[in-house]
Amino acid sequence: MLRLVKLEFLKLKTNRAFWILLGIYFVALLLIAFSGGAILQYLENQGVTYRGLSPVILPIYDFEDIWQNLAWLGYFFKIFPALLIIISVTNEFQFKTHRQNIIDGLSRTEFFLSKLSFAIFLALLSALVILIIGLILGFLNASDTSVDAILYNAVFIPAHAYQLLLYFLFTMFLALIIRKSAFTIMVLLIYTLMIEPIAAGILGHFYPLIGSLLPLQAFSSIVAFPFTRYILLETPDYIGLVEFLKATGWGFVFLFGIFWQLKRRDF
Amino acid sequence: MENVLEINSLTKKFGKITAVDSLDLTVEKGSVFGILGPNGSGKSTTLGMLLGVVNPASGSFKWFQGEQTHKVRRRIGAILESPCFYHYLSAENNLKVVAEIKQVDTSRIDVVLDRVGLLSRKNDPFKNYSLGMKQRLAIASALLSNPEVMILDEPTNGLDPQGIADIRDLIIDLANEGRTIILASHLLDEVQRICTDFAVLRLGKKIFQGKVADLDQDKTNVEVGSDDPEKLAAFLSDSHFAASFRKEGSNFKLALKPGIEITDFHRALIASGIVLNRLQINTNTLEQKFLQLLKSESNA
Repeated sequence: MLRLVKLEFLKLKTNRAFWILLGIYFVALLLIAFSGGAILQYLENQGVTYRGLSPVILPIYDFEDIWQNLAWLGYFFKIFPALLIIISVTNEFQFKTHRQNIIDGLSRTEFFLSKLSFAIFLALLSALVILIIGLILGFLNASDTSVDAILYNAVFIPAHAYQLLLYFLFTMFLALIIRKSAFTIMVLLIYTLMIEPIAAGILGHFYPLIGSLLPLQAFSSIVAFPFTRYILLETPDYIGLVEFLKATGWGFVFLFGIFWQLKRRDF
Repeated sequence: MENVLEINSLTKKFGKITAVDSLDLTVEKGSVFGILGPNGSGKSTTLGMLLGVVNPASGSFKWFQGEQTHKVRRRIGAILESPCFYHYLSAENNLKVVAEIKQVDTSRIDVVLDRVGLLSRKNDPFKNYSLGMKQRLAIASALLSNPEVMILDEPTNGLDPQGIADIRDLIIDLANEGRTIILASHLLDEVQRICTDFAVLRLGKKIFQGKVADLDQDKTNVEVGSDDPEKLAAFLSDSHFAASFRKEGSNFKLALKPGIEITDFHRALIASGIVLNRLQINTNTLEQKFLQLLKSESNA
């Protein structure tokens, strides 16, 4: 398995687009995460208060809250790492190296596993970066830095990796069907930002259950939008079993779809 | 003789079209095997199946008479159609990917790059290479695992005369090193020059398999011309020398009947008072054999 991860690294190590996109993702994450305090300060300067309270006292960096806040934020920027998945898959079709890999002696299952391992690696890397950002911001700002406080809700870190991985599987499935990078990116963006939100809105209005069953709705429901708790709305600060199962179900659908594509189609 | 490859009723369908139709073929170790056929006869599809990129509809094939897994492909060096590499990677980094797949030590990379004359350009990205250099890199890549079998599909396509000559020399060198070579081509003189065995495919079916050396033993074809073509035509139709003949331009092409020597034929001409201004003996070339095979098949 390690050999397959190395293979993917050898393929991408001098790909400029890969490093630029990876950089953009982490810099964006870092900037937004670190400017949270500044944003609250700005709101206070603008005279924004909620029920007489100043925004700066909101505990966004407390360890009890920070993991969910960061996990949600990381998933919000998911398009950037997803583009890396698209590059990794569509490059092969563009250069016909997927055929050459097989001819040279890779099995189709190994090809599948090397792409899957790349997606897992990327998801874990993102979780690691979130862990580091969270620890830095937490120790700088949190009121309680006990181990209990740090570990409380730290489950959102692996949850973030899992959530990203599921989105990567969806992306990889699209890339394998479409095979062209520009077109895949377009479809992914339009589906993620328009088609599914609109479909979920309409469906959800009439049949709330079906609306929440759409794949991306299921994925994003793993980490609930956290910031509504600061205006005292009821906000889940845990990972719901139903949400987890819905997302996992879709994960298996896409995983099977990817495997089927790679096994059955002629290269 | 040990067989490197055995193919048993291999079939591939694309929708309604049968691209390869229950093909049987064996390739002996150490032979240079040419697969001939017009465009669309199933050559590339067959090679694609042998290399795992095309899924067969039915039938089977066996490499090296052993257990069949993707690992046998590491012992084969293949160059199909155009060279396929990562455009943004350097030659060296591209070969590192191949070495990782084939589980070959990376020290081999410089060896094979040197052999194809690309060592000094190994840090250049693939996209900056000329077509000839790309083809040479493909050869280097195929040689990386020091393979027992080389598969080449139209290896001289799109190359300039120098490139074609280089590839031809390389194939001969590789064959002399004792490697088995399977070469798909529609360039018949190319196959005749370098192959020991050949098979002809037409519409996905094998219509002939034989040795190149056996070709010359067929009947002799002669081309003759005279200042008095009428007299020559009369001689040809009346005499018992020609199995068949036809007029081509101002000359006649004929096939001598089996057992008749060219000297007998010439003596009879002189005796009849016919003076030739042209006499050319064509040994049975692969091209003639090929066209003849295709013709007899389409009549059948």
